[in-house]
Amino acid sequence: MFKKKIFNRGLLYLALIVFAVVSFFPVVWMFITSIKTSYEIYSFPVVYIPSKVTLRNYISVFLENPFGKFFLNSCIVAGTSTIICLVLSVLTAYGLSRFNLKVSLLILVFFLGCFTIPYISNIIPLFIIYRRFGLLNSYVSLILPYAAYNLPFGVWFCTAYFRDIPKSIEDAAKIDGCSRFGMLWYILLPLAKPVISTVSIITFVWCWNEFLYALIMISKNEVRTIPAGITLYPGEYEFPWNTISAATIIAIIPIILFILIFQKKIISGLTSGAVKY
Amino acid sequence: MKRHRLNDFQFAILLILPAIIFMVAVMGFPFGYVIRMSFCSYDVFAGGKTTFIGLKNFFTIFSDPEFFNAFKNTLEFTSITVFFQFLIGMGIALLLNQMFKGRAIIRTAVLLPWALPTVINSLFFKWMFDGQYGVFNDILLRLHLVQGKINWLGSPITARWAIYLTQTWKVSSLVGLILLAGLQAIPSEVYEAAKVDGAGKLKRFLHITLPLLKPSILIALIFRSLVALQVFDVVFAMTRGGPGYSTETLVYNIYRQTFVYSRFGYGSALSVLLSIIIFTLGFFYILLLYKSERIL
Repeated sequence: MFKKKIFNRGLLYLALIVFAVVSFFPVVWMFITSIKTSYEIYSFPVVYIPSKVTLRNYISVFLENPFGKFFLNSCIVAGTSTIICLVLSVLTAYGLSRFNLKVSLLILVFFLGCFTIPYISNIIPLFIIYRRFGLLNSYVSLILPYAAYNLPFGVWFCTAYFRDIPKSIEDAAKIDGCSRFGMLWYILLPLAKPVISTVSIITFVWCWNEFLYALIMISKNEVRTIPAGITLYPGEYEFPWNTISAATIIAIIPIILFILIFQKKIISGLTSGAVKY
Repeated sequence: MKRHRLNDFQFAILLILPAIIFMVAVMGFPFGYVIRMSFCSYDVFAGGKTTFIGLKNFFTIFSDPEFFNAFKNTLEFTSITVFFQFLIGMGIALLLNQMFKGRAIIRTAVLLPWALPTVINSLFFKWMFDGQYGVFNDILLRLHLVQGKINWLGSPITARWAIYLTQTWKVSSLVGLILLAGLQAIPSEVYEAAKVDGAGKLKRFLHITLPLLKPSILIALIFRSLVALQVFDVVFAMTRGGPGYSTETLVYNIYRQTFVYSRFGYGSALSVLLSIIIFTLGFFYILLLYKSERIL
């Protein structure tokens, strides 16, 4: 009986190790590649433990690419989109949840309907419209669609959360003479911290990683975001893995730090608090 | 009671209006615009001259082998990746549902694929699948599982499977998380009762776990399929639709027709067609979900 238990535990940890290895390997391998010399990168059989470690690839990333610019642009676009999406979500959720609106279900369905519009369908008209107004190659061309695309999700999450807040808190505040706006600002928002962080995290990560709009709306490197900047870097026939490997590693450092710090929050957010891990 | 200038109803509408106007302006209106454009031929170079041509774009679509190729590829992509992501995701969920030490590492392992930009994740795999210097070839050769190096991204079938693997790697953890949430919602008493009745592990899984997970699985299935049908990033980053057009998907085809060949009208028609496919599938899924909920 005892032997069986040890065997099962052993299997469990084996499976966990396999899972972790499969998950981490692509990143680890790219990192190892990025610190190798070109000679060892382009050799076969593959060199697993480099004999010489170099930082040259990282240096050439910054020399050959406006990588700092890409990073800044990603921050600005993702940050602004997240803020806009949050503000609109919270306002809308407040209106939908605390005022017994009969049309609230209809409006929620409206947002769900918007969400089902295929992502690429709107790119063509938006491209043409932005072009006409000279908005291509601007942050606006990305921020607007990003915020709009994440809004249904934000509205649904926030509305569900606000609905769960007991009415008694509101009544108590009203007795104390709280205005309706004050209700939002002083009562609901502090209580809504979990859902606000969930929506911000998921929206921010989504915007940071977005590629299609970033590819099409922006053609000037000064305004490019990270995903488009890195993917378009290689030319038609050359694929300089030495530089690209370093570039991808630099690009994902913030992401890795982010999930290391916010693990628990992200997981509970992604599963709507169902998974307390 | 305070007297307000706006009554409650008006105040609520005021709160909701900005978001609705925003959505209509940025998503609703363009969608209407693209529907109109699908019936036109759009001349980008003549400053956007639109000529109404009725259903001609749609007829062109149905006589274009490249469209059917993209359609076939997309269907294959969706069915295979969704199948595997649920298979592996279920395994991950069952695994994570156990008690073990080292949760922080496992949490990170679960989140990493989700957090990475799809294009960067695709570049990682593109490098590992490299025909000349890739790690996969190296491992396969060292294990004597193959005779020579495989040019993964250079031939149609292997390129497709390389893409399927990459995408499955990226999303399986997420599906695993969603299924885990469903698993943890099942009260342990149900399992206790089954154990008392003498049900073994497999029976418990098949007759308790799976049925109770059905709603979670269906909902996740809907979202993952609708997302998979619109795949673009992986294809662009790994193969640009090649070799030839063997890995081109519907959205990549739209991209190519519209932004490489500047056929905006035709691209619009393709987008509208894709929308119809997605709406239809979504509708059927929701019908399925509704039916299964009734039976439950």
